[in-house]
Amino acid sequence: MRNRGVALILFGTAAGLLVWWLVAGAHVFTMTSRLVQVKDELFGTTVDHWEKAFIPGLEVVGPTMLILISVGVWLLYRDRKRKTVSTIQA
Amino acid sequence: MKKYFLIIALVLLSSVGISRAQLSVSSGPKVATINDKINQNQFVWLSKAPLENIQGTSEGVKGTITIDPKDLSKLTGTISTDVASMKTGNGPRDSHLVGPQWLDANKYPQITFKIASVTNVKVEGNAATGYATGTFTMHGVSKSLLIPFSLRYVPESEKTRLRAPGDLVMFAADFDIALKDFNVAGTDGVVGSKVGETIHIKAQLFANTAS
Repeated sequence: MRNRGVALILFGTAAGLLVWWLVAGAHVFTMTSRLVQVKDELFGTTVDHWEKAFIPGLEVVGPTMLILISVGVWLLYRDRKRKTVSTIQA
Repeated sequence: MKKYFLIIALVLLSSVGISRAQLSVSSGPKVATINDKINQNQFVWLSKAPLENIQGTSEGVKGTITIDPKDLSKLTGTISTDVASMKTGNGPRDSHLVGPQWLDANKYPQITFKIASVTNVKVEGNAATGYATGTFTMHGVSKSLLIPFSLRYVPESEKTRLRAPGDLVMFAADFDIALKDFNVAGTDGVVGSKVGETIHIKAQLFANTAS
């Protein structure tokens, strides 16, 4: 039962990572800065400036999700195996 | 008869005034130098591709523009940017971008646009729009481009002096370039999938008339 709970948390974290990646712009590569628009009152326009930011890329999110899901599946498999063994013993 | 002659003369004079594309600033020709103290001079570019959209900048912009507020159609100048200053928000990608397979900063260190002529100038107060025809050089290839632009002329004041001396001028332009026109092939299969075949460029340039 404990394994199953941990597996669900891992699947939830993987789903959360996927949502974060999609919301952040679904970038292939992780970005360490992003462009933000700053208003210039004198000219009545906006100018783009780089600002430090961490935007996850697929090369970070992909393997992390794969590890989380793999561990979750392994925990579920172990939990199921243990249950089967205890049922046979009973 | 005299009355009609006067009316015709007035109409002719006013039409000459309109066609000269004159800003509401009374001064002769001036050389405006691009100056980062006024604001960040840069080309912001966008690559739209099926797998990824990439936004980046090219900084290290230099150049001079000769501008006559009394006749904007005489505007000329040269603007250049350092290829090595390109940023995309990801260090390894920046290195690839300026590397030999893409823009090759070592061999072609600058991208330049030399304005040859300006047409279709429309003025409203101290702002204007028009089309600049010139030679755009990138990756060792020069092409003639027609670029729509807008400019805003801000005469020297207490406020402008806080940034730079002299009158201030802002130029903005939006245009597209096709990578294949400039022999930028990139790595196999990347152009068209991860990098757009056409790059949209937005120029934001700030210059002052005092050296």
